[in-house]
Amino acid sequence: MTGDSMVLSARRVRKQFGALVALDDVDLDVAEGSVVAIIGPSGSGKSTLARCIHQLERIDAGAIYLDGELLGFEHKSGKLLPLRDRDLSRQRAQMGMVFQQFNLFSHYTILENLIEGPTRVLGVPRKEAEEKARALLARVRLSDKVDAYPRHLSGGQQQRAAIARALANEPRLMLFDEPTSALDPELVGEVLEVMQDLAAGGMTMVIVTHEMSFARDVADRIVFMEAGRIVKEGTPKEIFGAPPESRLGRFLATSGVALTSPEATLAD
Amino acid sequence: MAIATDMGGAARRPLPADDASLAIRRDRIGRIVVGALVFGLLAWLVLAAAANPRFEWDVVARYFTAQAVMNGLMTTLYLTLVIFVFSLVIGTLLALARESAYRPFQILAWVYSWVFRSVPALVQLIFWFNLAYIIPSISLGLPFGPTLFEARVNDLISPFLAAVLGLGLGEAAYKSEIIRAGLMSVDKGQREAARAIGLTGPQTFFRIVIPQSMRFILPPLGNQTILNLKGTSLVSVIALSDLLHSVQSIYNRTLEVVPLLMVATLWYLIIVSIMSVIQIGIERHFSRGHGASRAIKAVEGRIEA
Repeated sequence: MTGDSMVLSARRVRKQFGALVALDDVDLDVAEGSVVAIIGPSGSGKSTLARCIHQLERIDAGAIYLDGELLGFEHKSGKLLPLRDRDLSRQRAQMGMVFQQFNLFSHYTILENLIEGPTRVLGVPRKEAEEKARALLARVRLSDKVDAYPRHLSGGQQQRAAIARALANEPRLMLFDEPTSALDPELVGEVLEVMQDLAAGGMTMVIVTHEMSFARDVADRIVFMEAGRIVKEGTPKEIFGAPPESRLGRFLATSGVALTSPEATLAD
Repeated sequence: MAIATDMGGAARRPLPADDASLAIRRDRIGRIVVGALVFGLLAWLVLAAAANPRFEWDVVARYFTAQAVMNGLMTTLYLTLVIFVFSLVIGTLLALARESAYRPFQILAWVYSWVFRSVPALVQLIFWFNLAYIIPSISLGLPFGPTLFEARVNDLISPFLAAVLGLGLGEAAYKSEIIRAGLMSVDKGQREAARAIGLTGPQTFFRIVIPQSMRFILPPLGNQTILNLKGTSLVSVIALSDLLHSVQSIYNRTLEVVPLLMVATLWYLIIVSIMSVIQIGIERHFSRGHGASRAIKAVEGRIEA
């Protein structure tokens, strides 16, 4: 039913909030080890798409598959039923989610934040989970903050810890929902660096972002959304080479991206 | 180089008369005066009470740990504990019902709160005690079939159960509001993050939402529990032998009204003091990751001073 090497496939996904159609017939394929950036004006449905993939929102139509497994629903005696809480949680644990507002558990230390998923959901012994958590924190350069509480960390540090927490479940796919939008400008770089390392390490990633230059440099494919639809999809070269008078071209211009970069000019 | 030389010179120069570090604290004298007045007034009250022969302190001492008083004290404590647990469970369910997306649950919880907050505790107490007058017996059976269970309400509703229902049902309505406020204080993102790492609904509630809402639930909850402890004194009207009823039984016999009321008063004072200390400890536990609250720091400061 889905592509062979696709980690994630979305087919004709539709999501409505009351009368508002947030996602309208969206198709998306994410290959193993690839990085897909989703860009678009606010209200275009890009965050909703990430949240629907992660099963934080239930879709109204269409289907989403993770490694060929249907997400959020099951067939039972010929009927399609929404999954029970327990099975839904198991599916969510296979994907990592990074939020705009970090959302670290404020009453837990950073280490406790990281081991919560592995120990409570995956049944990993505490000692083993702690060891792995320390290794992850070293990877995002937060070894000195293991026992700190979230509110004692800067925004950039919190977001790096949140990325480490999402990685702790060893997910098949990482989703980022505008991970740098809530950060002070000087803290954006350290988070993007961690994400770049992840991408280089072969992690499959879907990134909703406003960081155009990051999308251009790191993504294998860029998806441009508007009004709940995918308007254009392609390599960074194709996307950033869009004609300035097109809808995408105008969006890129207002996003402050230099369209005159050598690649863009060549692609034109 | 030039800057370093300048600074070295400044350090050796005498301080100007208007240097801020030389300022003395303006409020010190005022504090000493007010403090002395307060402590003087307190000392005078204690001495006056101790010297007043009408308090009959020897009688107070005689009955302070009398068996009947101890039994009454235990009943009061046990009743407070049972009401606490009973109202906490029902209050939590009511809070969840109010917050649920299912409309009939919301309405049910609202109607419950409306009824049980409107009727005074004393009225409820007498009502439950006299339930047998309205419903003489309850039976459980199949329609047109055999009766599986039958009991006289008078046997079912003991004074203790009447006390738990009369005081606990109303208390549950108050607790539900406290718990609801606590649940609403937890950021939506915390729930989402919990679901995102794969925690189930109940895990999210008990491991993330409840511990975080505790910071907001505990201060009013402690307040309510102290109110409940004192509220149990109402049960003397249905002849349940709590602390107040016990001393009343004694002074009805000996006519030593004031000293026996002092016995009850001192015990209430001691228990509330212990409860307050316990509350501080629990609040400190749940302030994890947020630093100690200002109230706790203030108390600690006073202890150290």
